[in-house]
Amino acid sequence: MSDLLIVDHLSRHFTNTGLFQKRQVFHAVSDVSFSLARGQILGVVGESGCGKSTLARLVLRLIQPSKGAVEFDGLDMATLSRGDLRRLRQRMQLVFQDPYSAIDPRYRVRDALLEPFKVQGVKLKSADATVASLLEMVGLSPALTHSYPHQLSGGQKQRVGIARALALNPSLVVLDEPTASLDVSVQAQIIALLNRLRESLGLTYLFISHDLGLVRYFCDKILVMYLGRIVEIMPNDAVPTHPYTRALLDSTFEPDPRQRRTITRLSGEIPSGYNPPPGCAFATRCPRVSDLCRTNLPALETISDHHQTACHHPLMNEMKSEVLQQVNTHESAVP
Amino acid sequence: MLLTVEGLEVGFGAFSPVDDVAFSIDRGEILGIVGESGSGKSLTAIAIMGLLSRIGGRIVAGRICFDGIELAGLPEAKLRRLRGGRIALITQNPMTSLDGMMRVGPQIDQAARLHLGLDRRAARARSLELMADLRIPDPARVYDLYPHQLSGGMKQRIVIAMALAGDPELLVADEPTTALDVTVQAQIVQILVELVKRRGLAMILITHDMGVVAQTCDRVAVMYCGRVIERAQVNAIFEDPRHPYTQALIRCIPRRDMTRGSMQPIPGMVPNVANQPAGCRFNPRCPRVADICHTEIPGLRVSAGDHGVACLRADAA
Repeated sequence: MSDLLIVDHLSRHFTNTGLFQKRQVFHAVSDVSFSLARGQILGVVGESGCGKSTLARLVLRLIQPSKGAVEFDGLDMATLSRGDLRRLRQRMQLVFQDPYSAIDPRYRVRDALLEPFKVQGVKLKSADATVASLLEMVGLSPALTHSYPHQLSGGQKQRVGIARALALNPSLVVLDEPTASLDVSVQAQIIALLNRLRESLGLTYLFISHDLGLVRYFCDKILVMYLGRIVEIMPNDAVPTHPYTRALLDSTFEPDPRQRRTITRLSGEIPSGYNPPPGCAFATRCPRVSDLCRTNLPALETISDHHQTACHHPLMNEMKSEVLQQVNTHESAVP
Repeated sequence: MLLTVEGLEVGFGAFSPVDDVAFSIDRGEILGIVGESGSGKSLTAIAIMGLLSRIGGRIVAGRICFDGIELAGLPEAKLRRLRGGRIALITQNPMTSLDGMMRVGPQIDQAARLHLGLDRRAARARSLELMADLRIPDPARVYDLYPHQLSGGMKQRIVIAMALAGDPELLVADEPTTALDVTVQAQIVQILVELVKRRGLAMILITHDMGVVAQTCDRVAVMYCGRVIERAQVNAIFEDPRHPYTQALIRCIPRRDMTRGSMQPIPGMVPNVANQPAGCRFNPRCPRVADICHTEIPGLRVSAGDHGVACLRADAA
């Protein structure tokens, strides 16, 4: 398997220059490196403000990186001319979180689906046939061809968003929280649809989500971010070694009343991206913190095949069995 | 029972988005009301709070009985004494409850001054105590901050403190953690559960999240299209779900032991309130549908263990 996407030491900071404000630099994404093989699904997890959406936009080069490089199918995107970059965008598409604002309210479904061809200047033999096949691909009735977005449900709108992203036959689809605003039963439909499309069209997904449970279910590889940095990259079935990943997992509520667990309470506040600490960003909340963590930034180190963690005190072998036990035993938190 | 709801029907114009809803809750208990968008779970909460008239709705039929007081049709003045006092509401978005122009501390004081008749100093002392109880760090400092200076989780704790300030017996929490990050959600849920158990409160927890339900509730009512379609102890809902909708809902949540592709979505979509199918409202999506489901509306039949199911074909599987 060759890598479709290689991200190398990517950083992006934003400079805040308000009229009466002190000049401040916000570190949204810092020193992020990873690769994504063809046909794989990489999940990016983290809480609000961890930089996951900025990372998505950097990968698609919708915003420019401050440092680092993105290589797509062997091409360094920084070296491409504007025209080449636009043509390359046919092969990389984005599905937005909010299907309500992603589609122009004055466009009918048909117009929304034909827009990518217009933008890219692709001539179609038959627009009607193209619209019909796109609708069929995402499981929408042809009766919706002339509907406006306000006449569709949230799930239907997200299907239109997916159909539009697939219109130009891309290789990479970046999915930015595609189910966050949907009901669980609709989420299940959309995830099943994405899985089917990936298999039939050979797509590669970068799947961004705050839901570790969903990411573990859907993705091959998981990348966990905290305050703009990668804290752990691991296969979906691996036992987390970083205390933050562990805390995320502990905070995920299993839909099983027999598995009620005491939640490891994280105290302390998340530091600001304007003023990231010199050491590990998680040190203010970490139960395993030491003096070293407050002063020295832990590097991302390989601990086993495809598993890297950025922690001075990772939960290693002897701890792993304990973690597994806690995950599997049924401690009752509430009598 | 502290609160008993029977045959509740909520009307908006010609439509009834909540119909024939019944449940009860006692002190020290957490009742989960789960359902997807449009299931009528939030309207049920608004009806209990006596706030329907503010959004153009009305109680068409049924009873809401709180500690011997009939709330349906109670004059506004009497409702106002209960609301924020013996019955308190926690909303999904903390900014629905908070005044952005006012420091958060005095906002907590208000309920205690209004409902408990405390003076300013006593109310402040009580608010600081509540804030410490909710594990808000440095309460004396936070007391003087404005909402925009606080994180989402901290704002939601202030809203919970406001709800507790009037010394309520019943808490109605409408999606209290939906807008929060997972680690913060876990903290807030744990705080709410502890409050209920320690203070002997009753809490109605309205949510779409089956994970939250499994981790917190004692009993659960599942709603679909304005009706309670199943009602049981929490273990029974997850281990022995009897309504096809509850069974399907549980199958479409990703679990730790599931492999990709094993999640089974429910086909079709929730019908519009103006266009409900005749008979059972789940019939267009139901795998067990029969002729009778198109003509008869199933009522909630309660069997052993207080397990109620509104399905004409519950025994068919």
